[in-house]
Amino acid sequence: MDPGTEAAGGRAPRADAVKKTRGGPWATSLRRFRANRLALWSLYVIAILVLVALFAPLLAPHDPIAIGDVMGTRFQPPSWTHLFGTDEFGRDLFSRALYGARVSLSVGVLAMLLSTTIGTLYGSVSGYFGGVVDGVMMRVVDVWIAFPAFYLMLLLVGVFEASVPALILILGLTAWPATARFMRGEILSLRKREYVEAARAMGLPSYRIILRHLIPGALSPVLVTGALAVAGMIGAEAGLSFLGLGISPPTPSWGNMVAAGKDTLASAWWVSFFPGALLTITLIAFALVADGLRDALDPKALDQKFV
Amino acid sequence: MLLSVRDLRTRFELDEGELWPVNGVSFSVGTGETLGLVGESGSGKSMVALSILDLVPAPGRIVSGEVDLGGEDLLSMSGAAKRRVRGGEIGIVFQDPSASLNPVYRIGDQIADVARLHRGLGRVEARREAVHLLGDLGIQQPEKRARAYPFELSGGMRQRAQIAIAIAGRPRLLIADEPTTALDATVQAEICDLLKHVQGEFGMSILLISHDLALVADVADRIMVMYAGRIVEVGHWTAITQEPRHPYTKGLIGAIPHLGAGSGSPLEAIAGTVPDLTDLPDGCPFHPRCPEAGEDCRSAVPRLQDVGDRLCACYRVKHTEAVT
Repeated sequence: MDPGTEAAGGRAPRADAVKKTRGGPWATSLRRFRANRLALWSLYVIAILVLVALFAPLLAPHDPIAIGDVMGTRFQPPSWTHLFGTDEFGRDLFSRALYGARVSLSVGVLAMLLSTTIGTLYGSVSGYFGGVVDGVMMRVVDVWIAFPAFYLMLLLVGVFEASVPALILILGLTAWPATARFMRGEILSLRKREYVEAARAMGLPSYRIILRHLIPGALSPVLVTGALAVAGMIGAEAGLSFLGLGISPPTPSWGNMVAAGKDTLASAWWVSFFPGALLTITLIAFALVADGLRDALDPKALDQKFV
Repeated sequence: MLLSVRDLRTRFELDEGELWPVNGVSFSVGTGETLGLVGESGSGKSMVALSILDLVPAPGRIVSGEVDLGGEDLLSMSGAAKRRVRGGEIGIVFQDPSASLNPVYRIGDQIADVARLHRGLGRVEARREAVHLLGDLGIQQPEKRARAYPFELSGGMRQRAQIAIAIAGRPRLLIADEPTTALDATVQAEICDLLKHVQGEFGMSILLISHDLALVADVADRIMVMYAGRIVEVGHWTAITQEPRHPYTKGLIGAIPHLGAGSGSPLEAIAGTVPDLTDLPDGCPFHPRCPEAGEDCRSAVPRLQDVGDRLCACYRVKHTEAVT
């Protein structure tokens, strides 16, 4: 046999094999995520919502708050001038919905970041040190979780003046114990890994072991719960605003927009419908992205398309 | 002496009872010396290593003893002082490099981390040091390998990387706990040569732990044989391998297969199995398997004593003047 052809024949698949492992586990996960149509489209939806929220002042055709000629323009059904119609004060609902996206997304994402950060650190410390420290820290979490979160939020919103920053703080500070509890479980299994033992044998201080060796290992489940948490936070903000305890009119939020239309649902359905639909789409999108992340990041999942 | 371990005892309290993987172990390692520690699995070798670093996992704990490093007892040091010793004074290489390297960090970063922590190097210097160490340990294209993740390297390269991590803090003692067991036979020899090279270059002392007496004899100056948590024989490597005196050591030597020995000759093995550490026999723990055991062996544990050219813990071994 001609050695030249043999070598060439042998090289091609090998180069391919190298390419496949290059970039590591993250690249594999990215590929898996991209293969998930639903999750990918959901991510596009979220990206569009983020852009809309960022550029709301440029995109909005009308002032979202100013009340003009009320009697002339109130309760107009959707049309080309007012895509989502107008409300009882004659304000353009499309413009209000764009601005409402700012409130919903910023509250959702920032409150999630706050609660995930606190929960991750709290749970990691508890799981890493174990023993009495763990016992005390987890009892605090138990008590916290035993108290219904929504009532706690209601209470806090009642005590403090509700503004966007206040809502972020309140939602973020009430929701962290769930993250803490699950993070503790992750750390409990990770800390028995040999590379953690090796890090201790190299004299690394505890905080560096937690930050550099434990938390990165638990990052993928954190991403998944983080994406789900955004949906939870947006839902909670909308719920509070609907009840009149969150963002108060005239500042638009999807929650208070839905509430504003609830009495005229029969005659002017569009007032509640559009913000409600946006809310639903957003929550589903985040949930589907979380789902896609979970499948993409699961090391045990079989990569059916690529195996 | 660089390191002196005195009467170290480590106990595990389990539901099945308590066990003592390290039961009154004393030894010392001289500067620049390679000491081999040999024993079957479950004899407590690895626990000796972890006890020296005070890293015994729960539910185990060090009950008594001293680990004297340059005049200071490591076991009574503060947490911060212990961390300076770990990695800075004593480096350790574990058996399975694929498990003890963090899978999500580049090799070079893991080496540089230790160099920064223990030698106060800056980010750039530490990075250069990592590449330098990898090259020094015989890794081709060290620049490129430093940027690799553990999964991108072969078993032998991973073990080299782990050695680089262990010596990045310029420790005075390197503990190698079964450093070649997870590797191919050809790579084993390379890693052994590497340990000798590292010792020559940095003047480190080495505590080499292995179940493989032949491998230890190839590298070590002195050999220490451990059985059921106790040291049973210590001596110069030639004394242990050429003229073993403890019946257990004799069994170990006899069990080494020889190339060229008649193909018909059976492979010898030590009768019986390693005793259950929670249920040790009275007297010498080796007596149920020992061909030379007598009545006295059943009553009390023999002490490790000077028998001339070595230390030995056996009633059958009497003091003799060194022959050579």
